[in-house]
Amino acid sequence: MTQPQNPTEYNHRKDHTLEITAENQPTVLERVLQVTRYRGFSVTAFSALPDITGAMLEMTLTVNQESRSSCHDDSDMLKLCTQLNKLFDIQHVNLKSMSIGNTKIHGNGFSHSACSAPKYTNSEFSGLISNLN
Amino acid sequence: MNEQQNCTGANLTLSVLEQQGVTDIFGYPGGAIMPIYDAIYDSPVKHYLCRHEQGASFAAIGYARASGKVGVCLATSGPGATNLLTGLADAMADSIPVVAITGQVGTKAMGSDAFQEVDIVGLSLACTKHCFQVKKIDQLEEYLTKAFQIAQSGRPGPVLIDIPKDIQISQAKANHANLAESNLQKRSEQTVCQTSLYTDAEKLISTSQKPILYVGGGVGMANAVDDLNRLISITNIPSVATLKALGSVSSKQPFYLEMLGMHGTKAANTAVQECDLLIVIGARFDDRVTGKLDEFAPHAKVIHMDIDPAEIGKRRHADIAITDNLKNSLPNLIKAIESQKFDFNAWQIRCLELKKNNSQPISNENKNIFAPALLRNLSNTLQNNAIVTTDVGQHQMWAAQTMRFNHPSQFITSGGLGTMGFGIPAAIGAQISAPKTQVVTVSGDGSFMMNVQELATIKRYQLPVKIVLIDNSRLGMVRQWQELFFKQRYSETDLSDNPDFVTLATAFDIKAKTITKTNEVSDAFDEMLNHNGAYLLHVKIDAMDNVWPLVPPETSNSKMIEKTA
Repeated sequence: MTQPQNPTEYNHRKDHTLEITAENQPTVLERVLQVTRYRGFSVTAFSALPDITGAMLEMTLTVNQESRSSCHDDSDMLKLCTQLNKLFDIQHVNLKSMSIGNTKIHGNGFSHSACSAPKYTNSEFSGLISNLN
Repeated sequence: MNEQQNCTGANLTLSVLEQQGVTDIFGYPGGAIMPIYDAIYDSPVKHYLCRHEQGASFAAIGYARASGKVGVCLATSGPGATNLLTGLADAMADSIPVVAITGQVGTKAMGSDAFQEVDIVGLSLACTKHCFQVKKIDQLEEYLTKAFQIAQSGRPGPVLIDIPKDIQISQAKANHANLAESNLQKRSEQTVCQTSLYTDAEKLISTSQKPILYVGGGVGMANAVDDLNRLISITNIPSVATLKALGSVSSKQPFYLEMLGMHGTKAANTAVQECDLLIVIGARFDDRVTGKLDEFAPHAKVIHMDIDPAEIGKRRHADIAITDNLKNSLPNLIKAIESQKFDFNAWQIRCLELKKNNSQPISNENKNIFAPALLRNLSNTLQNNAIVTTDVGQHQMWAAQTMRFNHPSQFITSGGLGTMGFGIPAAIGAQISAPKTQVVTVSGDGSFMMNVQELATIKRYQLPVKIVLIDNSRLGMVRQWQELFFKQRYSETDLSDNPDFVTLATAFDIKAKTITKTNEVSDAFDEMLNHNGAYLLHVKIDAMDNVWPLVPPETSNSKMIEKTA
């Protein structure tokens, strides 16, 4: 992994955990990992289990942001969520834990727009925003 | 098709294409897709044989962009499939609805490194909106139907479906299943935006003094060109357009400042840098548009309208985000603001002043041909509904700067991916979708050679495509950057040993002519455009001609440089 230039920066870059519900299609794991890598995150832990019917897959994905843009990493996490959310087989993405550190979250447009992230319900999303604040 | 009677997977594939309204497909046969080609033999769906799978993929894109329908391309397994990938990446970058069908080795051989086997599903993950591999015959109809739905829904894009050979020959039951639309209804584009967002947008517009409409390719793709022009007419807000949006804003709009970005007009870039409100309509803050992002439109609040939620806040914070189909959101915005009286008078005067000061006259008193003047002349000579495709490089930017279009579907160029070799096959697809329309490719001597084999496709189908080949015997755009940013170290950009393009075209029965002087242009255009069939006009220009103005890479758009002496 790329070493951060500034040690204090590293402290702010903690792991984030996503819970993802997806259709249990053969390519879905690769898709999730491909999007995660391409958007600048590395995976520190990953588990995937089919539900009781075998039709759905419950994934838990813990990621760490690479050094691409260190000062806005929490809003970048939301961007990763919206990118994962676009994948056809994915039904739901839930940002389970997010470290705040000293990073200031700027309003990122989501709070203005209930429809900008369709698979989050309103309350989930405002909950998510308020957790950050 | 009369189903149930000896219906194979291959027959079913063609039957689904018909159901989806597909009339023309582009492809290249090979071992693992032979059963589908056998079904094509007596299908009403017309297949066009290109001479390279990459050509077939660009033809499908040209077809889709000219017609608004889904473009379809086919290839065999292995190298056939990998050759499609550049086209799929291009369609992904420019959000073009394309369905690619690939043959695959039989299911029993899969995973054994069989002859012409490649994991095309794995390879396509990063350059398709979605991909399917059919493992059982029962999945075939569902996946094919879904492929078409996904390609067109929301933000369009390419979808690949990989069909193993044994599935193609299996007995199939076409059930024409009422494939649950609901499955797709969950997707982002079905969301409905709250009315309050439009009220918020109206307030932001009312309180702004210097608003700009930054218009992107999404407008044309959403079929919302008329809505956009209504919005502009009602508000008289000055506007700028991206490469993909050229043709969206009517040239009759007085405050239209043309293209912004790296090779845009200085007027457009200056106005955007000065504006206090950026109303982004179907655009995504591409780096060729913004220049140095931190310094882009530094005083502006942002209203971002786009169908793709993932574009909101991706590169620029949005104060108001409206993620809906522009066909819905633009009328909603108009409704929210049409009763308002706006006064942007001072700003409009400023924009007119910028437009006047910065409009570079494109005159050519030289004997040698100056490509921007030539292309402006060509644009004035073409029919109103003519379709122009381009390749990638200097000629592409000159075409974007000087040619005028009445609709974005008239300018088909590889924007996001910037794919050389795009122009000729894209023109083939466009001409096939619109046989009676004048179709012209503007190409460069570098790009032309990248899919030159498609001249054989033009010949085969007797397509009246006109090719204007701007030849500076260089990889001109790279050469220009070497001159400006790499101390004139012209590494590997000299093409002065190009083939004789007239002889080359003639070998494909394409009429061709070379011109080198300005006074030959007019007659040459007459001859080309009045010629019944395909025509190649080979235009020699000065190797040192550059594209101006220019925002150097990683530089603010306010530091645009104009022609150096």
